[in-house]
Parts: sequence; structure tokens; C-alpha cells
Amino acid sequence: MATGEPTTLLQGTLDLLILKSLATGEMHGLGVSRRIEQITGGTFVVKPGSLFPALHRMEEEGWISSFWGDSENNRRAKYYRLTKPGRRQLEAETKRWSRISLAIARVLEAS
Amino acid sequence: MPLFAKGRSFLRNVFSSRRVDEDLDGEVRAHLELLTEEKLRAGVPRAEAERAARMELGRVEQVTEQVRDQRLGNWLQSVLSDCRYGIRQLRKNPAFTSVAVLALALGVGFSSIVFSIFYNGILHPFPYRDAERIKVITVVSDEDPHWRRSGYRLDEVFALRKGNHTFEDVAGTTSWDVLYTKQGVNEPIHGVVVTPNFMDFWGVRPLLGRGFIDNRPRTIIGVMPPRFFLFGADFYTTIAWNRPEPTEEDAMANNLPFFFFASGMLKKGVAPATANADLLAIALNLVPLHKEDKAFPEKFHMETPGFAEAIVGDFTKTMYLLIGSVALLLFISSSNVASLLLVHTSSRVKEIALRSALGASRARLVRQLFVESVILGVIGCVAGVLLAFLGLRTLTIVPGIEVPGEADLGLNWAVVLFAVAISFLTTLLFGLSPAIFAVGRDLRTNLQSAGVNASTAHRGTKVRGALVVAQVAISLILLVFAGLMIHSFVAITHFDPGIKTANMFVAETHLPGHQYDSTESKRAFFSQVLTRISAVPGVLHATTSLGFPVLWGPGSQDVTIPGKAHDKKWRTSFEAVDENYFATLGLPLLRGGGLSSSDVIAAHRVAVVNNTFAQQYFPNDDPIGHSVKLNVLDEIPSTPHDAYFEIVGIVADCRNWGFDRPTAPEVFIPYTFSGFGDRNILVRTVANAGALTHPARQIFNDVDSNAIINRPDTLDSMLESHTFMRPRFRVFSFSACAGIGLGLSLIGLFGVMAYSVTLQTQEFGIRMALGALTGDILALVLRKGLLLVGGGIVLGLGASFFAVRVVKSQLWGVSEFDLRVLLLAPLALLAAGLLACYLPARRATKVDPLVALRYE
Repeated sequence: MATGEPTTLLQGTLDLLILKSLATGEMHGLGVSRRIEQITGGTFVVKPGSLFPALHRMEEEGWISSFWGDSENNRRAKYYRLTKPGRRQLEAETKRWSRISLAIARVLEAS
Repeated sequence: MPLFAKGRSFLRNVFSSRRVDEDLDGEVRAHLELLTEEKLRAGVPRAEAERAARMELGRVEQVTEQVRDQRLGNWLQSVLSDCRYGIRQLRKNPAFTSVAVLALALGVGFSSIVFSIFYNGILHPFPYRDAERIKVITVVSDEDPHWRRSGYRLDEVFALRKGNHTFEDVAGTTSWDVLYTKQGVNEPIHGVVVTPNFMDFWGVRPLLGRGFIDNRPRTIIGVMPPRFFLFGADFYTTIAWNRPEPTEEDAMANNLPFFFFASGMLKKGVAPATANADLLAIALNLVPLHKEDKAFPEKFHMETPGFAEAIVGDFTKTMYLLIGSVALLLFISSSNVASLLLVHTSSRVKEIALRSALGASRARLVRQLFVESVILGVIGCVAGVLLAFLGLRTLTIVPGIEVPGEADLGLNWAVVLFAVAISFLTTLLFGLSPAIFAVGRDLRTNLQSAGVNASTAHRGTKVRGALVVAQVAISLILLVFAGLMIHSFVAITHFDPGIKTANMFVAETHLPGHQYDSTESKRAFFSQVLTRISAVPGVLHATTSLGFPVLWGPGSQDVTIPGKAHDKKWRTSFEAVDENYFATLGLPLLRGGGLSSSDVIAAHRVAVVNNTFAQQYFPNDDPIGHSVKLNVLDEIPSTPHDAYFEIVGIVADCRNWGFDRPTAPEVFIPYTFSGFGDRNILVRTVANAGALTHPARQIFNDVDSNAIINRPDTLDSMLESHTFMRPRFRVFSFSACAGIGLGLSLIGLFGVMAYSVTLQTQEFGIRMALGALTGDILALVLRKGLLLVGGGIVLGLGASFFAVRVVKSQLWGVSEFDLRVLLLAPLALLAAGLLACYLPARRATKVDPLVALRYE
């Protein structure tokens, strides 16, 4: 799946990626970051400088909630999980993204 | 609930920002540990793992700052921190802050007070509905602009009301004094009789109550609100439009309301000229009805001055002048604030340069300066409003303050807002100037120059120097105004009207019904009353008159002198008196004889004239032996017609039209020529004339319990309210303006000088190291100050030559180019200015060369 160099994220896609990665269950910041790397095959690498502002903003939006918990190695870490509005947001974002990617695919096919 | 979550986050971010920050720090640190652990597990050695983790995380501060930046309420958070920083800055410079706040407060406070008086006293003085449309319907003679009449018979008022097309309504009011009997003693009370449309016209509703007045009982049906002082009445009563119109004589004899003051509510959008023409048509129809009473001159027109104008009169001009002075004052105070902020600026150029070097954005810096200016402005303006509020309260107890009795003097918020806006804008404008000066300029230049404080500071200093020159110039104008007012006041209070005004009791009297219509009954009454008053301890003389000496007489009347041919009408004032009149006033007889008691008892047709009369109408011959006829007597039914009075003596002049007009020719005749009309009494006492009210009232009551003394007063106190009050108010208000203006300018001057001394500390150090003496340094600084003050004085004197023309009408007895004032004001300013420069100059001489040079 690896397609070479990491790419910069498209505007608005970071939220979707974070929501999607949290859909499978709660995880801490590094977990989210690693999960995105893993599912995009290393195409997208989310640096802490982008990750934390996004997480905090989404928390303020009420899409995710946070709590302090223990990591797999008994270290304290801040965990995030999807809220109900977050789940709705994920659905909406997914639909929107499908429409965009479909449209772009059509443009590319047309030429 | 996203909205709920947002709200909660917002509140948490703003109110427990420390906890939120700690939480974030913890999270980022945990992240770092997780990263390190991940690397360790991949088999990387610990040191290497830690380094790699830190690399991947980036700078912790940067991460947390990025999170903070896009937090909800971040904007408010940083404004709050700007505020905290701003307040800290202001507290760090207590001298700057207190002087700036003081300058703002004085400017806002004082101008608000005067603007408020101006607005409430002049622009919108009356508490009545649509006061600006209320006009006084006035007949004015074409030939003599002093011939004006706003009093009409009730049927005339009715005709004006019914016949016009330009007024919504016309109402009539007249004062009506009646007796109020309380425990057997009669006391006059002042009433106002009004037409039935009165309440609607003035738009005032009464409160309620009950009671009795007068020997005809009347029920009190209402109590007017206390603010309603229309014509200063104790009670109001109404009169039917269609009462049978009495003759003037009947009305006077029976105390019936007769002449009504007619006011009209002009329809919206009607031009005054249209209204005047409309009224003239009605008035011309009324002329034939008034053949015998001469209510209209031969040629006349109608005028409709505003109610405010008619009541406030020439005081309007004083207030306009005062408002101009206050605008100047506001300029001085604003420029002081500006000047202070400019200094503050140059001292902060370095700080600003440093902050922008550390990465503060231009917007962030401007916002910081903006917030600081706002804080300063708010404190200053709040203090100013407080000052205005307290000031206006104390103003009511300052002697000599005179505003129309009808006006409502409160702080006017519209005008307070105006003064606050001006001061606030100045503060913002000059508070932001560091942003204009410093931000965006080359950082290196700023960092360097701020240490040496040379060029940037000097640029501000030039602006401040110009401001000081303007301030001094304006102060001089204000000083000249105040000086002229003071000189004028001294002139008017020291003016000799021809008699001594102190220790003179004066009062109007009213005798009941037809009982005293005859000459003999009236003479019997007055000789009895005056004899008894003369016997009161401390009384020197007592007499009776028609008018009041100095202030008021029966005006200018046609006079006929047989054997004298003249083209123009000759006019004279006249006075009907008894034999004690000249002694009571202290008027010396210049030639011939006075009026004897037998002249008065027998009503001889003799007259005494004043010196002006003799000079004017007998320039080349002796008036004694000639006769005069007062033509006005021919027009009054109950006075002798075609009566010639032989001139027997000439007395010295004394003012008889008030202070403003020269002495008019005057004829004095025995008051027994007729039993006509109400009379006044004048009593000369040894001291304390005001104390005579009670004994005089008692004597009147003893002789006839229905005879009353009205408006007892002293001549001095009448003069005070008629003549001295306005000049006194002018002295007070213009002196206050000048004083505050001067104070503010000196503060400005002092500030500029002190600062320039600070800037030149090294220069002085070098000069002293090279051998300059204390005197040299002192002269150096003083010369600079003198240049500023001198420039301002020259500019101010030039401006004064134009400005004084405006105050000309406010002056009495002094020229607007009064040399003493034009010399003393600049000298005073120069002396005060040098003093303000001396203190900084002294400091310059105390400079220790070693310390000064070490600054480099």
C-alpha cells in the first residue's frame, strides 16, 4: 500500500481521518497519529503540531470527548473517544467526502 | 449538544485557563513519553530514543501555542491579558497615568458642565412641550424699536387665537396678585390667570390638592409639579374666554386681570415671516377698536421671538461665548493628553521594537496599544463625568450664577458624550501613535536609537512644542476675556449712578378698591403711613414714587414746552413724588427751589427738572419760570388734561433707565396731581434696609388692613439682580475658564520642558564637564522655555485682537482693547510660564557630569 513520500493533508480531511480512526474505539493522541499512518499506508503523517490543535478543536465542537487513562504500559495518557454528535459528524463527513472523490474521479475519467 | 459543549469549553477556557493549560502541558509531556517508549521498544538505545522523540514532537511551546491559538475564547483571553498588561504599564508610570487622567478628567468635566448649562439654559431651557415652537406675539413700532408690546386685552388674545392660520394655538397668561388672609394678616400672593387652553398649550399636568384663597373663596383644584415655575407664580387660576371685557381703569381699580401675555404655538414648518404677516392682518383689524387707549402705534409690525429668547434675552450671547471658551479649553486639555502620550510613545519605542523582534505581530502590538489607550481613556473620562456631576451640583451654590428661573439645570448626557468622545478620540489617536512611529520601522534603528533616545524623541518634541505654543496662545485669549470681564465688573459695581444705593428700602404698594381713587384720600393715606415709617428707629427719610430710582421710571414720554420750537418730538421721563423725595434719594438741588409740602398738599402745578433736562432743552436759557406739559397725561381719563407745570428748580442727575442707558431728561411733579394708580415707597435708613419689611407691613396693616406692601426689597438687591448678576456670572465663568486653561497650559509647558531637560542630560553633562556654569545651563533651558511662551504670547495677542471684538457686547464701561488687560494678561502668563520652566531648569543645573556621561 505504501505509495512513497508522505503527502500534506488536504484541507478538511484531518478531521475526517481523526473521526474515522476513533470510530473503532478510544485511543490517545499518539494512537490516533499511528492509526492514520497505518490506514493510509504512510501517505499521511500527522505531526503533533497539527494533531493536538485538531483534537482540542474537535473536543470543543463536542465531536469527541477526552479523559485521562492508563496506556498499555501503565503510563498515564489522555484518551479520546467519539461522542454521539461526533458519530453523526463522521457520517456527514464521509458522505461529503464520497461525493467529492466521486466528482474528482469523474473529472479525471472525462479527459 | 454541540452548542452546550462549546459554551462549556468557552467558559472553562476563559475562567480556568490555568487548569486547561496544565492539562495541555501534561498531555504533550505524556505524548513525548509514549513516543520515547515506542522507540525503545523498537530497540533504539535510550539516549537516541529520547532525542528522536523530541525531534518528532517539535518544540513543546510551539505545539501548546498552536493549540491555544485556536481555542474558543482565545481572543477574549488575550484581550484580558492585554488589559492586565496595560494596567500594569499604567501603574508602573504613576506620574504619567495620574497626570493624563487628571488632564482628561478636567477637560471632560469642565466642558461637560458648561455644555450642560448651555444646552439646558439656552438651547432647550424650558420643560414645556415643543418649547422651541412657542413664540411670544409682539407688536413692535416701526419708528421706535424700543416700543414693544406682548400684553393684550383678553378679547384681543381671543381674536389672535381665532383669526390666525399659522399657529396651532394661542394662549394668554397674566400675573394676578391677590391677598391671602392668614390669621388676620393680609399677605399678597402672586398668581397667574390663564386662558382655558393653558394646560394643553404648555403640556403640563397638575398634581392634586384642596384649599381656600382670597376673600372670594376659591377651591384649589390642582398642584402643579414643582418644576413648573411659569412666571414664578404661587397659584394658577383660569378665566373664561368670553368674560365681559372691562375698561382698563375698571380692571386696575378692581384688580381684574387685564393685559394678557400672548404666546403662540407655531405650526410645524411655518416660517417666522409668514406668521408675522398672518398676525399683522389680525392686528390691523383690532386697531379701530382701540382708538382711545393707544394700544397700537401709528405704524407697526408684528414679531414672534422665541419664548426662550424673550425670557433669556442677551444672556444667550454670554452662553455662546462661554461655549466657545470651553471648546478652547477642551482643545488645551486634549493637547495635553496628546503631548503626554507622545512622550510616553518615545519612551516605549524600544519596548515595542523588542517585542516585535521577539515575534509579536503588528496587529498584536497595535491591539496592545489600543487596549492601553482605551483603559486610560475610560478611567479619565469616568473621572471627568464624575467631576462634571459633582461640579454641576456645587455650581448651584456659587454666588452670582444666574440662569433663567424656568430652566432645568441637569447634566446633559448628550453633551457629556460629546466631550467624552472628543477626549477619547484624542487619547486613542495619540495613544496609537507609537504604533505609527515605531511598528513597521526598521527594528535595528529603533533598538539602537531608543538607547540613545535621540532622533525619535526629537520628532515628538517638535509636535509637543507646537502644541504648547498653541496652548499658551489660547490661554492668553481666555485670560484676556476673563480680564475684560473682571475689569467690566469692577467698573459696573463702582459706577456712581448719582445717588447712594445702599440702605434704601423699596416696595410696591397696593390700595384696595375705589376707596383711594381721589387725590385727597391717597395723600391722606400716604402722609400717614410715611410719617409713621419715618418714626421707626433708624429711618432717615421716607417718600413715595411711581418708579424706582436708578432702575426704572415711566419711560420716555412726549413733552411740550411752550415757547420752544423743535422739529423732532421732545421726550422726557417723569416722576410723581412728595416733598421728601430728593432728601430720601440724596439728590442735591442745583438751582431754584424743591417741592414744598404745601406744593404737595395743594397740588400746585409746579415741577423740578433734572440737569439733563435743563441742558438738553434749555442749552442757552434758564428753564426756571418756563412751563412743561406731559402729553401722556392727556391720554389718561383720570389725570388732569392740558396741565402745565411751572419749572421751579433743577436737581442733579441720577440714572433713571438702568445702568445701560444714559440719564434721560426727567420732570418731577407733586404726586397729588391725580389719585391715579398704584405707588411705591422708598425709605432711606441708617443701616440694614431689608429689616424694614416687617415694621412697614405692620404700619400698612394698622392704617388699612387691606392696603398691602408688595415685593419688599432693597435698592441694592434690586440692582444686584437687574444689573450685577450677569456681570458677576461672567466674571466667575470666564475666570474659571481662564484659570483652568492657564493651569492646563502650564502643566503642558512644564511637561515639555521637563522632558527636554531629560533628553539633554548628556549634553548638559558635557557642557558642564567643559566648564559651563550653573547660570549658563539655567539660561539655556529658560531661553528654550521663553521661546515657547513668547511664541504663544505673540500668537495669542494677535488672536486676541480679533477675539475681543466678540466680547464687546458683554462689556460695560471698558473698551474691548483695554490696555491694562492687554498688558497684564501677557505679563501674568509670562511670569507663570517662566515659573513652569524654572523647575526643570533647576534640575538641569543639578546634573552631575560624571553620571550624565555614563549614560552613553
